[in-house]
Amino acid sequence: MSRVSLGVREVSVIPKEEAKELLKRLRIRPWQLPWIRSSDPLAKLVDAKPGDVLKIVRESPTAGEFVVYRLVVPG
Amino acid sequence: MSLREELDTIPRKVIKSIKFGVLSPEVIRKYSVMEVTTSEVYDEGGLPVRGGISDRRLGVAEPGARCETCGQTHDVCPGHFGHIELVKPVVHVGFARVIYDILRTTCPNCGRIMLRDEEIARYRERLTRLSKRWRLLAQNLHERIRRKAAERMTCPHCGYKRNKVRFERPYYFYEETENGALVKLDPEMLRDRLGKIPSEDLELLGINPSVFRPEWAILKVLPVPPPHVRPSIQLETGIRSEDDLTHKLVDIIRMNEKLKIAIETGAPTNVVDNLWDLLQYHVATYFDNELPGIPVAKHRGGRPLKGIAQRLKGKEGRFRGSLSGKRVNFSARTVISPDPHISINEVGVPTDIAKILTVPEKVTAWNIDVLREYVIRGPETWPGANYVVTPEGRRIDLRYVKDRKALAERLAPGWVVERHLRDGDIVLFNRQPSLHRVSMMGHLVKVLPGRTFRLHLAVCPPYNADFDGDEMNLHVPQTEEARAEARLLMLVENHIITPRYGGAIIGARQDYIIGAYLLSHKTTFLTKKEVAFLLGAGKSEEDPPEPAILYPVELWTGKQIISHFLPKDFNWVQPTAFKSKCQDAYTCHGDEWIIVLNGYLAKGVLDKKSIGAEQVDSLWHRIARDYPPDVARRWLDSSLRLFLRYLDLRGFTFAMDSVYIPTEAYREVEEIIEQALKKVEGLIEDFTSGRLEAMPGFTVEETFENKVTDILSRVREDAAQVVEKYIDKNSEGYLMAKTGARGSLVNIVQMVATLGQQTIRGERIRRGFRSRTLPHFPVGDIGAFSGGFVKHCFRCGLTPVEYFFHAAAGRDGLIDTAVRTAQSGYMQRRLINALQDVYVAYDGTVRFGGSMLLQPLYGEDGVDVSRSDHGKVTDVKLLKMWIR
Repeated sequence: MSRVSLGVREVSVIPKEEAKELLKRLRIRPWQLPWIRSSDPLAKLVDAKPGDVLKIVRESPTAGEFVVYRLVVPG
Repeated sequence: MSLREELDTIPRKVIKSIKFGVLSPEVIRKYSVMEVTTSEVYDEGGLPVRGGISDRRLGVAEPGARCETCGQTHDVCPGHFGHIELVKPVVHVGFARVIYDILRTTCPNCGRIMLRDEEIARYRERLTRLSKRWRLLAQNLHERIRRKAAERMTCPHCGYKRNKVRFERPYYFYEETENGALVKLDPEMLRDRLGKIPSEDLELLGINPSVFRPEWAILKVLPVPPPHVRPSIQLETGIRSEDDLTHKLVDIIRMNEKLKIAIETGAPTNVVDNLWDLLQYHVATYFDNELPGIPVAKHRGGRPLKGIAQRLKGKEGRFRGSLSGKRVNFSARTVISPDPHISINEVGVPTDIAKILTVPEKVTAWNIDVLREYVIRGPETWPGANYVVTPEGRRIDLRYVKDRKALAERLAPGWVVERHLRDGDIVLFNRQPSLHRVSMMGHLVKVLPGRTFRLHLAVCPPYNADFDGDEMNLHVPQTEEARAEARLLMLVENHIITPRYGGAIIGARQDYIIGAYLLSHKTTFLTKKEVAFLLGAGKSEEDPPEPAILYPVELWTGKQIISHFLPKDFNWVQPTAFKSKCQDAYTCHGDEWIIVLNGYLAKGVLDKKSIGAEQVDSLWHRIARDYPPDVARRWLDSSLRLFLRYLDLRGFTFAMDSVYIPTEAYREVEEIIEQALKKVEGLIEDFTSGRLEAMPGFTVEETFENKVTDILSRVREDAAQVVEKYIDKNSEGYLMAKTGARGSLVNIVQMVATLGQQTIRGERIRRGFRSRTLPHFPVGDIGAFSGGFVKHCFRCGLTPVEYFFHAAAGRDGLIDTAVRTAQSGYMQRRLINALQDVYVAYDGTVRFGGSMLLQPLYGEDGVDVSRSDHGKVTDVKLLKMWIR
């Protein structure tokens, strides 16, 4: 069986405190983050609930490894 | 009072917000200044009929007349809406879909949404929660609510069993009864049903009842736009020609009148219904005349009428054609042609154009003498002037001034002279499609005789221009600020480095490369006269260097001349395209490596790898990046002229003997082809006898096809090796291919050895006649030759069959490019529209229109590629060299 690599190395729900700090650093409100549905396989993997912020470490062709954040939304 | 002053007296307001909604009948009537009651437009005297469509109360669009509502003339009167009272209501086609959505989710009896009270409460609670922040999710929820409500057939509020509503495009609604019969719902019934729906229920369906009540989608009153929207044109013959919208409105009024009479006289229902349907048709085509399912409304001549939708839609519509697309003054367009003598910063402008395009120049004590001369010379002779503007703002057209000398005398500081374009003026030069920022750059004017724009060959790549008939546009900035910006930001020398990856997009190509190679070659020696000529070509004012050979005659090497123009502190080492045996630059005895020591080209030949555009780690890339733009530009200007002049001196001709290989080479090529053909024959043998086994994932036929293609395409590769072995390494063809000036080894192989396999869409040629490609082959032939294999070369000549296949493959390539450009152009348009609000913020994050975050760090590594070296931040090799 062949598998498609999404290049995701690590997924985790970040604690509320950390999320708050992140949003403060980026100077944004939660909804301005890119969204991910709670029904997304990646969100299901870490059992994320709507309102959580996911930290996703991905492979990057330019930077080697790269961290992105996703806000979990219902659906 | 001038228009400007008049505008100043109008109180100004600041727009706080814009709300989009649907006009209610009340609003339409309120805004209306009159009801249009008659289909008559003009009376016998040619005057507008009162109560008609061109009533003066609606405003006036032609000069001379005065508006009867506001009493102003056509240039000030904004026009006023009127209205038509429709005898019977009709569906607004634009909202037909919305009406359908509402009808199938609500109860026809009580008007409530088809949801239970507890469901309504639950959804409403969720919506209020979502609508605060999750606008997009709220839309999803509305969709879900709609689907849920549409499923239920019994009303939970009044217990009414409703029938299914059917919608037939563009504007017919039916109800399906139990026995399967369709009952038509006329607009009056629709309006009754829609009017019953309570506003609170609309919110659940995603409709804001404060700006849109569903019954407003059924038109009872139609707004009539003022004549400014539909101006009539007076033809030269004196006949008035009306706008399409006016025609359409007249149709509507006429049908409305007919319907009214029919109802009043008590005509049979079917007659009334027919007229009603016609009224519906006219109103619908007034809005959109390209509706599917109904015939387009046409002029008497057969030309389709333009509806309101047609005015707005598409490339020539109001949005793309009028609002985003603008036409400008102070611009010129003509064919471009090459000029290697001007700078890359310059553009050659024909005198005819220079005499029309002007630059406004303020008269000062320092330029008054020159400007006086320009004024005296006038508009006909270059360099002159076309207009003079007095300090009071009066424009004097010099074409009609009798005594220009007297006018020139009156010139004083504070006046403005609109003088002709002259050498050194900054202009913007552009070639469509403007795909990236270097499609539009600032050039310095060089006025030249002739009728074409002259362009330096090295600036063709950024514009993607060639000289097969391309035209380009030129714009003259009119303000001091614009000129300063163009000069500082847009000048060509500031765009040698492309923002795409930080490499040079402008550089030597074709003739320049071969010229540079020949000049830098070890065998090149130049006499004093030639050196003087070449240094002159490079516009050097310094003394020539000490000659390399002093006796019996003074001779200079080509490398000395090249070195003469290099920056004196420039150091660089790189391999050339001729690198073969040497692994290290400093132990190499040939010209395989370039070594530049303090601006002296000690070793190596120049080729595309070192001075070409878009080359990584090249001599030219280093000069362009490490020196100021003007230094780099001057080097390129003078060196390119130098290379070309040397090529002129030496001469370079590609002829038959440039593509010569000896007989034994032909024998080897022949052998390769024989072998391949034999292998293909073997394959055919296997295939026809059924012995060929399929490769995994392929059928037997595909396997056969793959193997044959594989064998035949390898012929050219093998032949290339033979050619490489036998061809004269100093022949023009080989040199051009090797230095990268033009062509490749494949081209030479095709000229001297074999053309090889011809392909259509990447496959062997298969189509043509039934079970064979051409009637020259036996039926069912699947061999090499019938599949488009060309054994001969251009030099030896193709057979007619081979010629045909070659032409077919050539046409395929042409079509392929045409299709690709169209598709990529469309993709580009969509991408640009979608991404126009994306920007990199000061903290390095990528944001969308100031709200959504796209990337926490630009490009995931935060590198500004336009300032990198081909995408890399720093080049370690370079750092090492600088430290050493």
